[in-house]
Amino acid sequence: MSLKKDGRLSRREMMKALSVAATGGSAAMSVMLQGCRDDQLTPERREQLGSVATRKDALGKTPKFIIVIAATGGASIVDSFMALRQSESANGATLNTFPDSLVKSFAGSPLRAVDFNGELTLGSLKLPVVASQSSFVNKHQSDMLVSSFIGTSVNHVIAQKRSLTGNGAWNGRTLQECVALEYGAAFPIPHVNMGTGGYLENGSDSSLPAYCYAESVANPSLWPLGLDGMRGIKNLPDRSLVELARKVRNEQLDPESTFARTFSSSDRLKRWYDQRGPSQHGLEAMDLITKLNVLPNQPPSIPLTEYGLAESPDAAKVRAAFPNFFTDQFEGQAAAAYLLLKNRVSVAVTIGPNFNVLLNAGTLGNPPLAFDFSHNDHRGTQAFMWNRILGVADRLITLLKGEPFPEVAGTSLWDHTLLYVATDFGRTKQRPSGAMQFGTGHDFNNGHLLVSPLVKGNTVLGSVSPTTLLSSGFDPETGAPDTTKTLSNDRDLFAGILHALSVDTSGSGLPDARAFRRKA
Amino acid sequence: MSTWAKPPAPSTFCAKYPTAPTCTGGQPACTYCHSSPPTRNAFGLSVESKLLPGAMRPLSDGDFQMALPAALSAVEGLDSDGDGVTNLVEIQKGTLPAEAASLPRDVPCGAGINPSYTVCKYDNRYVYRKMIIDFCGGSPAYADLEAFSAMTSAQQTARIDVVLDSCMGAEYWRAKNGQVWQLAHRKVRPVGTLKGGPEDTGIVQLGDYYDDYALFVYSQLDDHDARDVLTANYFVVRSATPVTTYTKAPFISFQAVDVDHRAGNLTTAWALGYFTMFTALPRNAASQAYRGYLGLDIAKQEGLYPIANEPRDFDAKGVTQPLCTQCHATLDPLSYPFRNYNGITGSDQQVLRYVPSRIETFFSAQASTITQIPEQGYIFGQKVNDLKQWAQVAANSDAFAVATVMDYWKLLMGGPPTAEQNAEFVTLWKDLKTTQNYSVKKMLHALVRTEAYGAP
Amino acid sequence: MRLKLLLAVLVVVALGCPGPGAGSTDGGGTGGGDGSFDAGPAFGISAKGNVRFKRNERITFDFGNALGLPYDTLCKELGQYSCSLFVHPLALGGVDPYGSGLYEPLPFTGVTSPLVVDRIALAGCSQRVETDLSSPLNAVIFKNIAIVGGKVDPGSVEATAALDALYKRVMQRPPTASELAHLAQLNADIVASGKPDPGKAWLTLSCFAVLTSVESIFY
Repeated sequence: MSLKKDGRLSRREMMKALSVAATGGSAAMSVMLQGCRDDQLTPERREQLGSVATRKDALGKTPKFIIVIAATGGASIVDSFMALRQSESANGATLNTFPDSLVKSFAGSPLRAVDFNGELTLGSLKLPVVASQSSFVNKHQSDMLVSSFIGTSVNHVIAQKRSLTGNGAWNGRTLQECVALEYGAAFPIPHVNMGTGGYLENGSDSSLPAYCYAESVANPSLWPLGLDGMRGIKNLPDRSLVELARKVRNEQLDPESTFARTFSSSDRLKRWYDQRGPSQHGLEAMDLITKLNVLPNQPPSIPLTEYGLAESPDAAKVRAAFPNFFTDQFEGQAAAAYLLLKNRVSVAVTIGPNFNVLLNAGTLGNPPLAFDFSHNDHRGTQAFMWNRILGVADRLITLLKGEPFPEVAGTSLWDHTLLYVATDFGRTKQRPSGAMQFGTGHDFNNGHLLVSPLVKGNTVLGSVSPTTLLSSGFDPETGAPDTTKTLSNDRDLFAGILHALSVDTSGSGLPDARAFRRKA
Repeated sequence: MSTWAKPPAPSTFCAKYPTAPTCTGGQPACTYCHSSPPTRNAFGLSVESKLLPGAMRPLSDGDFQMALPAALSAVEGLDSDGDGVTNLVEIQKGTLPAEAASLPRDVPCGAGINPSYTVCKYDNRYVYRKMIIDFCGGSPAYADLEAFSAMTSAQQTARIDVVLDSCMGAEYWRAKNGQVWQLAHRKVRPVGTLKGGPEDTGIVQLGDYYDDYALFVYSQLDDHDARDVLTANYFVVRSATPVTTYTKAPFISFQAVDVDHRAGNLTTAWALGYFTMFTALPRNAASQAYRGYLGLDIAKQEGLYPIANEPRDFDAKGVTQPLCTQCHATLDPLSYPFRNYNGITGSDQQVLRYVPSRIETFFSAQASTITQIPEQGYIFGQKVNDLKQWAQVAANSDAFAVATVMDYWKLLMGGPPTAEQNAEFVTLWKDLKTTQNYSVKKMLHALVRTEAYGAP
Repeated sequence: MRLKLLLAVLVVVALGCPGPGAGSTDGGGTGGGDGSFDAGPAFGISAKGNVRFKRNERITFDFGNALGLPYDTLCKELGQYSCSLFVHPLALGGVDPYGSGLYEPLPFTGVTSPLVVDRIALAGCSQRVETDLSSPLNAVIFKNIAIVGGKVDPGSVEATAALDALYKRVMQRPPTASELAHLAQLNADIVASGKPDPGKAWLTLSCFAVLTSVESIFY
């Protein structure tokens, strides 16, 4: 094991160190020998596999975190923080403006909110919706930045992916991949994605180290059970003996087999060798099967103790914040997001509701198609779904605020986190004259919400035209509104998020989006 | 060059390079030259620099079309993406001249002795084991593999065919959630809680997409005509006991489109309920069919065949804006034939079926010109009178054959064809259209005989 | 994939497909076996290097058949939830079309994939060893293994036959002498560790090492 010239450990060495801590000497030797084989790889190959962090000196850097909340289906900004009162528009009756009394303003703030008290029509059912966006603004106003956004696709999957890549703003890599590259080298699973559709896709830049790409998770509550190769399985030999067997497999049986030798040029095999080496030991050494486990010991359905497992020390707190964690995937994902950050497992986590209907104890948890049910009932859907998104965001922020961040004295985990409410696209702006219930289609034109102590809070970048309800862009450096900027501004938002997170974008050609940063 | 990708570019490119793999069975996507229009990629920038330099921008389509071949010639010797391979070689080999990671990998076959594999040559034993894992779902037994090894080469070839047929008759291949069924996920785009029908019923029952899966799987099995997935005027009933079978049926519950207006999976209850839903002009239904069954994603600038004077924006969605027209000049006329196929607007007697004058009945208030949406439209630049004709043109297209073979190629090879494999791939889809009469079963027999599949 | 489909696959295979039968021949054939390691510099390497991960369904199927275990008991988290088909399908390259909308498998294995493979193999091997030792007359792989003082003689005829059977069931070839030697050394290391039940541990972990070799989980 060697120190880098600045005395820090490389990603691989970090993972090795974790495994050494967890295993006996022979197992540690196994890992070291694994390293010997990796040393035979070319530097380019190691870089691609993520074996060493050669691209950036991310190790030892104070990390920053991104949580992407995927507001699936099209969360409309004019139904939330850039809402318009009907009296403010000459065309208010036929545009998606609100009765004046529903739109809340806040002293000294350009932010707005819609407090809706109405119904969501689901077939023959009319479900009451009471949603208060103003309570979220009152609580988080100083950390909120709303950016106008003009996208380039109204196809769900394509637009979802573009909301993460800035429409290919930086070689097609996603925001989360950029953050993983910048800060994730020393993290065991830098990038976890629990989203859906286009939000779940990798970026198109295949040149990044392997650790930058997402680990996909479908069931966040049960997923931690797979974070150890043997815990929770009955009647097994001692862990040290399993390590001996892994050593025989990794260093003797596989390297000598005709199969492995014949296909030695396979990228898939090379990736596998890397994944089952230090990464595997590092994950097990961190006891993530316990630390990320929200499930309570509840025999007979969840007999943790019987299987030698235990719940996370934070489980009770997390369950209190997200009581529907097991039945509502979105709440389960938020619970996992908190634990992944708190335990320094990940720097980039993606969560969000999907298109499936959810009923929780007889009440609606998620309408069909999430925000896209706006096709059927725009106003009720937007109010319901924004309430759902903001409710989960608020609880997640509260948990992160309560978590000290010892790397920087006197700060909380939240102080180093950016929450990006990504969405597919906006909605069409028209409505039948005066209608409170109407359907909408997809529209390029929209805006996005960022919440973070790292962004310039209490800010709206761009503006909405009272005559068309269309938003226009802004200068990403100064933040000055630019009403002539009515075509795609994906790059501005993409750059703004990365710059707020202090991600080095040298060579990307991205604008210096200082307007997004708290400390410009 | 104007700010947007030029509609004539793909056809002009293919006129210059007719044998280029990207022109075989299709046309290059706009992303061949653009990262995302109007932004050009490395190759696009090279071409642009040679395209009537000094001439006023934007170029007219005519000037552009005239100047493009020379500009392409001028950059043939360059290596725009810096991967060590010239643009011309990349064009000829089918790799991307703007993507450094995409390049021909003409790795010579290694010499030497291998006790278990005939590397670089078709290896019957390797094929036999792999084929059984691929098609039957698990490794063969040791004794079976030994018996195979003891056969003559001719016997082995015959045995491979017999076992392949056997596997394709097995549940792993043809049952619900089996391998063929899984190929339909991307086309059907199921949502569990929206499923209608008696099995695995969802909370909101939009349509029974298992019917869509059933027709798709049926069309892929037993020498059936793969095109039926788009053109069938019948439905398919799946029975799971004692083993899975698929049977044609003229009518089934929950499917309401009358026989004269059916077009396979384009007009099922799920397709209408989910992809058309409440929209007047079902662009989403058209683009999903184009993407799912023809492999052409308009959102990715693929399969653009712009029609003159389109889009006309009958539904006042603003699609005549410059940013929109590059796709909508293809997409809107592609969507017109769907105009009378109703999603879930109207009464129970009107939903999920063909409703003459649908736009006039439900959507006339949406825009002043909306009722002018014609039923006549275009696909691949060819005029069609209705959706059934649309489906026929689609099913007979090269794109359909390419997409059909591509599904299986990716399933069995682990990725799309490489530059070196392209010739075999082209042979497969061309044969599917001709000698194999759209039998996926026959195509798969040919596929396992390719060098791409059979040489370790 | 649903359990029902997997069970159906077994039926069809038993009816005529030459797929993996639980009762496969485990005699000591020689043809088609793996070569020895020391093949020298002239070893023929595949230029394509195109192997594929077996993914959740095939791993379930192959592990179950190799170990002679029903798919639904091969590995169950908390004794209840199928590891490969319900809890960890994505980590094993599966899809989730009806839920999260993952219609196609991810292109690469993930960080947790090897952990999950280990988990399933350990669960399966542990069951196989327990069952074979407790019911010798019905043993599938570890037949007539003598455990003396908690230990197994890896060079015994029975132990060698068990490893031979294991390799043939998992990889469709007999083990090489070198592989047997490595596993014998594993036994020595286990015994030297002083941990209890070294014989049973060796049987379980030999099974585990073979079952999770790349030759077993890629093809």
